[in-house]
Amino acid sequence: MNEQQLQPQQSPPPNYLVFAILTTIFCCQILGIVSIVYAAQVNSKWASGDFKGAEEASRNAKLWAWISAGSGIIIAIAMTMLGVLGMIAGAIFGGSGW
Amino acid sequence: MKRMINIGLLILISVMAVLFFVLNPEEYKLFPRCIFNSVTGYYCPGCGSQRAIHDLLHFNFLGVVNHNILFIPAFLLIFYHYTSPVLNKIFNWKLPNIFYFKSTPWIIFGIVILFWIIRNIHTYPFSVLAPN
Repeated sequence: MNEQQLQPQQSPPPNYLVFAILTTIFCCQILGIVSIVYAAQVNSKWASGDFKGAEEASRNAKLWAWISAGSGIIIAIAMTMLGVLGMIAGAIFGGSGW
Repeated sequence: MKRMINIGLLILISVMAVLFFVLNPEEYKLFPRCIFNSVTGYYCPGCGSQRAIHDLLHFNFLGVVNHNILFIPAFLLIFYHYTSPVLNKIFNWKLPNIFYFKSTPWIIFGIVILFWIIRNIHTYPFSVLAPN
C-alpha cells in the first residue's frame, strides 16, 4: 500500500471532470465549480510531478462532485414535492372562489 | 453490487428521459425549479437545463440553444471523452484525452463563471443567453 503511493503511476488519478460538468450544468453550480477547481489541481499537480497532491485533489474532486450531486437530488426531490403539494392545494382551493 | 447500481441507474435515467420527453417542463410544476433562481432571482449556469433536455430529446436544437447554450459544448465534450478512446482503439488514432490537459478544467471554470455573469445582464446581446 505504502510502496504503491510512493511510486509514480503511469496515468494521472481520475479528475472527475465529466461528473463535475454534469452537476454544474444540471443543478448545483456552486458545489460543482468547487469540483472543477479540484479537477484542475489534479491535472496541474500531476503535470508538475506532485503525485501525492494529485491523488489528494482527486479524492476531493470526487467528494465534492458527490456532495453536489447528492444535494442536487435532495433539493430536486424537495422542490418536486413542494410543486406537487402546490398542485394539490391549487386543485382543492384554487378557482373555487374562496 | 456495482452491476445492480448500474442497472438501477440505467432504469432511472430511462424513466427520467421518458418523463422529460413526454412532459414539457415549462408547463408542469412537477419539475423542480432552480433553487438559486428562486432565492436570488438571478439565473445560474444550469438554469434552463430541464427545458433544454426536453428540447434535445425532441431534436429541437434551436430550443436547446435558447434555453441553455452551454449544453451544446458540454454535450460535445462529454461525447468526445467517451468516444475518443474507442476510436483510438479501432482506427489506431492518437486522439488526446483533453480532460487531462493542464488548462482544460480552468478553461471550463472560466467559461462557466463568465456565462453565469453574462446571462444575467439584461441588455442585448447578452440577454440572448438568458433561458427564455
